[in-house]
Amino acid sequence: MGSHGIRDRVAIVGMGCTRFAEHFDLGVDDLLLDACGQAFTAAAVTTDDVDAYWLGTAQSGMSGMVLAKPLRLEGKPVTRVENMCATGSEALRQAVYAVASGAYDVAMAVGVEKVKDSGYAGLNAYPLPGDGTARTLTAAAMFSMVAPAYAERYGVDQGELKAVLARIAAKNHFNGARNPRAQFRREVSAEQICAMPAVAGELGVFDCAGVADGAAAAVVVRAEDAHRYTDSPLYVKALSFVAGNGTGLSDPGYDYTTFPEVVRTAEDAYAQAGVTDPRAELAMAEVHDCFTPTELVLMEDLGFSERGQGWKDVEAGVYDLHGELPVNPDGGLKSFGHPVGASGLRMLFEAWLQLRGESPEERRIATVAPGRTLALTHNLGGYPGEMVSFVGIVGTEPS
Amino acid sequence: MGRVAIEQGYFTIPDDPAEPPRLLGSKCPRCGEHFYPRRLVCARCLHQGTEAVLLGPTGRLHTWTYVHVPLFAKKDGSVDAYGVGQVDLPEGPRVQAILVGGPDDFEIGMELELDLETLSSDEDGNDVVIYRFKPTAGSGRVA
Repeated sequence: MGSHGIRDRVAIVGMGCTRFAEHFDLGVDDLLLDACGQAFTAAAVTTDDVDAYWLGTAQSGMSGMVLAKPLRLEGKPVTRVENMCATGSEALRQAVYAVASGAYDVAMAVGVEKVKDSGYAGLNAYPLPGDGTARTLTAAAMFSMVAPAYAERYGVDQGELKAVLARIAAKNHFNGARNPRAQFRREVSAEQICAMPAVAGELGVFDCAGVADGAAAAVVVRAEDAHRYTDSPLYVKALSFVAGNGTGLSDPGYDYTTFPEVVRTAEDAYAQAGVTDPRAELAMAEVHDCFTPTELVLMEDLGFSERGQGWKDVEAGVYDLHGELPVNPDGGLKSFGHPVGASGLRMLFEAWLQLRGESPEERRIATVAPGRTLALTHNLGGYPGEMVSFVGIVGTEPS
Repeated sequence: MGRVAIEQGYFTIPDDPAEPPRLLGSKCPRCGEHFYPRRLVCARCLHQGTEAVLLGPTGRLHTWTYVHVPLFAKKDGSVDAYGVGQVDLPEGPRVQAILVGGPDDFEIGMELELDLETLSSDEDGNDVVIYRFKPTAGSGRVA
């Protein structure tokens, strides 16, 4: 793969994240001011100190002016980016690369989405012109097709797999219950999750992530300047992105038990960061748990579990808050909901808190103290067979 | 009074109601790849000028789901729930299609056959039909 990486050339020196919720009393401007304000304070900078901005929003506004207006920016370049549900991570990539290029000393990545005002319980989407072959199924239905395919390929009993999937949701709710920024802050048992009304296939209501309004932001600078802004920066180790070509829709070679786009981004990111054993080297991972089968497959696609072993590792608690490799310690999409433009940066915000020892004690992971310094964020958009995938790795120690 | 497709260009409507419909596909005369729906240029070798062929009427179920909550929630209360499958045609292409049956009627690997369902009637009294797949009689797993 033709990426050289920019390991340790750029550092994150300030972050902010709103609570994710049904913010019927807040507009896009309010959410942006909240998240950006926290990030400015953390990095001890003003709007003027930031040379350029990247704003990720899927459909809460067009152009960089969506950010320039509420921040009252004067003569600043602001770029609005969109890459489906990985939009927030895309904003980060662009801001980081802009600093790495030498074009700017200080840049900001921001993500925002207002989803709940549309009135129905799903992610809205603009009607896009197409050739008539686009799939017309809910996201839940499309991801639900992973479960029977996985059970078939690895000989897992369907009922047992349903319980494993419920355990993933229960784990994420357990973590989210310990996070004041999460939308849903209640523990839910696997038994309760299994008893929920059906949505698609084996998936019930609580196998699906919710939606929410929210925003998150990060200030990035040249690595050599990082300590001018904070005593504890995060260094960008890897950024990888793949936009799939959609052949999984019609290619009988695609088997629905893996996401090839994710495998490619993971391999690329590990090569950039020099990671050879992610399960042992990472302190934590934030992954795109839009539906419970998604998180299961990601454990294998990201190289945490051997093929066909992910369900056993989930059962064994490997990815629990105090497991071998905590996954979604902040509660994930499951507890936060998914404001499309903000989610990628919300994931990074948990890495910011956990790696720097700033997460609240009740959900502090135990892998950092013994010396693990890396965190991974994984953000995807689209569906099995046609998706975009992002993998990023950050760490507290420059190599 | 006859049967008309809900949209032209996707499937046949046999005169004999007992005969299964076929899907209107394309075959590249150069590399042999099949496509559904029809296309003029081969997506594999970019040869211009494909041949019109009929695909099916059988297929094999690769994976499937049962949609309890349709897209944009339940606008139409008369629609309860329905199966959707990824169906591999013997000629190669995979199609996503509605499945005939209840939530316990499907199994990965089973053989399916094309079928027409009447959705409504038009102003001339014709039945407006769509295609879907149903398990073949006594269908077990197909290797």
